[in-house]
Amino acid sequence: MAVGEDAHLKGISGAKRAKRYLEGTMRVSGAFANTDSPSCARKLTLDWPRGGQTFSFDLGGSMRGKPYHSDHFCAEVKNYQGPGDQGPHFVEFLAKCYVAQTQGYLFGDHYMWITWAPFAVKTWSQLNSTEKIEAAVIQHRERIFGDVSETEARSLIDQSTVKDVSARVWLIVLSEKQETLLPLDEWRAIVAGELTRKGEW
Amino acid sequence: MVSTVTESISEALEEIDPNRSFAQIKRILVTTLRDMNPQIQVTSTSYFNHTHVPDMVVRWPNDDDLTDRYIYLRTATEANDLKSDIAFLARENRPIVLALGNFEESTGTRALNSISVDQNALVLDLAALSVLTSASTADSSLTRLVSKSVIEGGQGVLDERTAARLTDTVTTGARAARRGERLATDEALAVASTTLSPPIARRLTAFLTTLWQGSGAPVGALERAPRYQQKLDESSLEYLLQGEEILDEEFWHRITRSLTLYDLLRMRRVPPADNLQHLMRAALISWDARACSITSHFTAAAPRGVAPWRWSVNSGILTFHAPSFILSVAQKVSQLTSVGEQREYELPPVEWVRERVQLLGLSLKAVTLLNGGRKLSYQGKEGRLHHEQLNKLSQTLGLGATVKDIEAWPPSGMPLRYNFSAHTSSVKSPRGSVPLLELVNTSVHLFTHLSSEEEELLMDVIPPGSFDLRNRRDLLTRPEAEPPDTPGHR
Repeated sequence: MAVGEDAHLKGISGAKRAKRYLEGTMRVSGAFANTDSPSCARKLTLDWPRGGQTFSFDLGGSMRGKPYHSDHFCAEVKNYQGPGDQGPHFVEFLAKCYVAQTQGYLFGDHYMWITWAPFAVKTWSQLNSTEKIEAAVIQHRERIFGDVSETEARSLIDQSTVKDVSARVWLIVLSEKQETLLPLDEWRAIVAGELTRKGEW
Repeated sequence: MVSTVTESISEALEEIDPNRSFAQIKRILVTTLRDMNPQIQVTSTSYFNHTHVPDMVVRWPNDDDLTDRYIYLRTATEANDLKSDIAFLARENRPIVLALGNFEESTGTRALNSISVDQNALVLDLAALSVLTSASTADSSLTRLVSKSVIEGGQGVLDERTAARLTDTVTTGARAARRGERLATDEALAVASTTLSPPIARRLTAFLTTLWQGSGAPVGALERAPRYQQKLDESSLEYLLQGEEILDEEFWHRITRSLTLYDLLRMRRVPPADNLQHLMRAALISWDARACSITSHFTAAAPRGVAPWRWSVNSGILTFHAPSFILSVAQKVSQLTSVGEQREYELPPVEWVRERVQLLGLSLKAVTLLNGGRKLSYQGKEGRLHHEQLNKLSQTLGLGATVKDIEAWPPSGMPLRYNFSAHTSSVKSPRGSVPLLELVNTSVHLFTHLSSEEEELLMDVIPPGSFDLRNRRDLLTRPEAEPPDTPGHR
């Protein structure tokens, strides 16, 4: 079966395409999109600590195999053709990850940013540094700490949480061509056969 | 319509941990699927909502015609999402895609149905599952037949409306077929052919046309009559036997023409339902059989939950429970003797057997006599053993000679071997068979000694045919010999 061609991608959300790509690695045992159902949306929605607003991730799921076995992940998916406004969105994403981490979020073992277009290429290698995360939290401090000054916010930031988030952020850049690299039908049958033999069914 | 199943699944979906949530949903579905058909095997995987790996695999270990079906659970309910997912599923795995919610109104439903049929896939939502598992319908056993058929070979999209239409149309069609009403029967045949894959549609078609033929109407009168006669499958026969009682004797006589004893024995278990009793009354006259045994009650384990004078089927053996004996019918003697402990019965005296053989109108062919450690086997000249010869043989062995086995021709002319030690009777020829009524009546009268009251009660259930001992005793001018003690367990 020829998969991943344009016809298959047409009308499919970025979250669904990202889900399919991750599952194709066979290292994700299952994932779901925020838009699938109200119960899925509830799992991926969190409260900003201040201001009564909520935010949500696009995708959540579980992983298998060392070193991630039984870990849960959540992902923000940007189905963009170019950098667009990903810079400010990524900063907000880091602030959301910090909040999720302080709340002991079930899907917070890994925070994935999945995009089809790179952005902020000059600072790409530092995008998930502790400094960037701290800066993101300060930028969005009103919804995290309330009406506090920048200095006050800096003193309120939990450095250990910042380090945790830094270690857990993934940056994944996909392309349409890459999406065609799915396991072949016969390989999937071999995986299924092996799982049956090992009694994992 | 919300059923307990869908309520439980909706509750499980609220569990925040997806592994726990899906494990719970899979447990609910395993129970639900096994309720629909206790013979299926369902295996769950550790994957969930996965593009490539199924959540569950359904197997039919007792049905060689059905290959595995892979079940894919889906959190999405939107037609375009599901359509895109189905393109990745292998047609040979006959996928079942269960959306864990209700389908949204969408313009993509028609396209989803089309790709589902192309991919040999069934796509249903929780509302459709609720309809299929609902026990509140007037004829729940028929609804179960529809549900089983859908899991076995359903294809296309089923939502609440189409699932209800399928169930209603088949239920109404089955009732109409029973009465020989063409329109509703044809509608049921049409919906079966569009909703089910061809092999499963053929089974449901066989069921509906059997009911139709039972009404006495010709198959050719149906617009959607099958080109070739199909056999009733096990679940259809089960529905027929366990469904609403059908008192019409003619119906059952017509049904027995399209069934054989072998079809019934292929069923693992049929409780002593009313319709089985009606079927057997007709079948005794028209079916053939090969082997049976008689077990005295004082040697057999008391049957559980089976009222006397009733037929039931268990593990490929047709059983009739009388107050003082159990009659078992099977394809081979080895099946009868392998069930439970093999017993050895006290052998009857030669004179008693001689008299019974004469009363039953059997022609003796061969005999094996025993007396103490002495054994004598004899085959009559030109195949027939005359009673005088039997007396001489008995005298050779001396007083107290007993009969171990005989070979005799009943009126149908196919030789039968009656073993008095094991209380079994069987057709000697490897491919032969005799009328069931002949096998049953000769065996009962050779291996039991019924009181006249019991004989009369038995005749209400098993017609004596030409083996009414009272009439035959009257016909025979000679005085009746005093029967010996009833042969019993040694």
